[in-house]
Amino acid sequence: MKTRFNEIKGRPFYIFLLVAWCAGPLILLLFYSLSDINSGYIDFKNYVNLLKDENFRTVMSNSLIVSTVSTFLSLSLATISAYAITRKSIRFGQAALFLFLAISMFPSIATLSPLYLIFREVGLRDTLISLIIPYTVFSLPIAIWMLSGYFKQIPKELELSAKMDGCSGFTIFWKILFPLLKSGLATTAILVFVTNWNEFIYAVAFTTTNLSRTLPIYISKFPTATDNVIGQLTASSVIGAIPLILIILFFQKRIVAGLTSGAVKE
Amino acid sequence: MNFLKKISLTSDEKRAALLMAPAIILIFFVAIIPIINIFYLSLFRKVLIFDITKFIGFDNYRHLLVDQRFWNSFLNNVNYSFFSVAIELVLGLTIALILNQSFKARWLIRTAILIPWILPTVIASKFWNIILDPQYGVANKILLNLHIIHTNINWLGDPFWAMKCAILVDVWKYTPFLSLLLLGGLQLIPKELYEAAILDGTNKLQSFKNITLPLLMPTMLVALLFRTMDSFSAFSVVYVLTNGGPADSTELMSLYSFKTLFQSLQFGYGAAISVVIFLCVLLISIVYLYSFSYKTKDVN
Repeated sequence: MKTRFNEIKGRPFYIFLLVAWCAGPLILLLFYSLSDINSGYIDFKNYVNLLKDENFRTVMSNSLIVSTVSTFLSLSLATISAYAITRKSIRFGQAALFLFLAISMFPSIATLSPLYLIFREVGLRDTLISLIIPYTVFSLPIAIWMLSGYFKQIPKELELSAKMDGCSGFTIFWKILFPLLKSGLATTAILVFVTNWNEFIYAVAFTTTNLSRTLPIYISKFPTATDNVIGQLTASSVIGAIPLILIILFFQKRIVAGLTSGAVKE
Repeated sequence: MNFLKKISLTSDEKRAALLMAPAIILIFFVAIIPIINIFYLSLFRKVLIFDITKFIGFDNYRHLLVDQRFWNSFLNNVNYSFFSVAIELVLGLTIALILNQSFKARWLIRTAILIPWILPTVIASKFWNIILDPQYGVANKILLNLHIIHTNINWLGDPFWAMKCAILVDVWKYTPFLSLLLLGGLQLIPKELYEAAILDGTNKLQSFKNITLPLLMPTMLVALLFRTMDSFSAFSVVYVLTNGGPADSTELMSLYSFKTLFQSLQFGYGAAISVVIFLCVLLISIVYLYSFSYKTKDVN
């Protein structure tokens, strides 16, 4: 049966449209950032200027520090918690998981002002810590939820037999569970990292100088598209997108699986 | 005694509690306490610059009821959420149906589809800012050359267009994500059902209505839940694209709350608006979860 039942006419054309619609903006950003408005030739000067700019380098390193540290912290804590929920025989484990899921759906604006007042009180405003704390904590619930799913896929018999052989709890975790969990950890880490890298509302409220600003804030501060900043604006956008594009290129299957697993299975 | 035994923890539970303690303590202090605190804060008149903190009961909420700007932001939000989610769902479903067959260049399509999802909303909004610029923007140039419009349109400066542009950015950013979710749902539907339907002589539309839609419903509801909740607290798109303008025509509730908090520094009133957003999101999730459990009961 060559022609499928659901075959839609002109599919290649639609798919071309889809790819252009999704990827077009990024290509245009690249085009803007590389073209010199005066000469019309390809020119890397926007990138060179940016990389020379002390402010931009600080902002870039802020983004990297905040996202990686909070992803690492969140994943470590979430792994331990997910382990406790799924591998120990406890009551209310499922209820706890749903509570976590509910917390992960809190809108940021609802926790923004109390946190702001506390950070202001203890002098954490405009520090990287004021971002690392909420980023870590607000990615915890969803990380626990996802990792619990991955833990559940590992058969309990593996642990039992290791226990019979006299392995300690830590050895069981490190030698047996961790290797099996690697791909799930990677998926969770990617989703958490991307969320934190892109986060905007906490960052815009808690940071006031380039000492703690992250890339999204730096980009949002550019005045609207006037000729003289458009090169800088688009070049910094492209640089901000590079880690994300690399993630897509290397981990796309994982991302799609991670994104759809929660919504589709249940 | 029996009762005590029931609530006392088993050794496994004690160990689990110990392991989970760091995460739970953090979540408690950074997520739960602030949520309780925001309700408390909304009962005060708190102006940071003048160092005023005064308990005023429900006055902030009474003021909300007659605050034109709040109702404007609420209606803007309903408008924004309804149209962006509806368009995203229809487009997302269409894309999912197109992609739900074996096809070449899977890698390329998956890469492209993930771009809008992964790009920061700020970058996406800035990009559309450039495209929609009245003088330099590509949008006007293309439409002029195609003779669709005859003069430059000030997309983001015209109250009629600004909200539509904000919805466009939302649609650009989230449709691919939705189509991925729906594609995942479509792939779970057994192919045999369609083959049986062919044998029974049903046409495409009928099989779409009788097989695809009902079996896809759970996935669609989850996707709708995520998107509606998200869009009710949407902030970045309008903050970057228009900052709520022109004439507050794109001011969403989160943005109004944010401006009240951090520009007029009225923390009590800003907190009251945040509480309303929180309750809206809560209400939406309850409605969806209810209809979700109802639907799954129906299927079983």
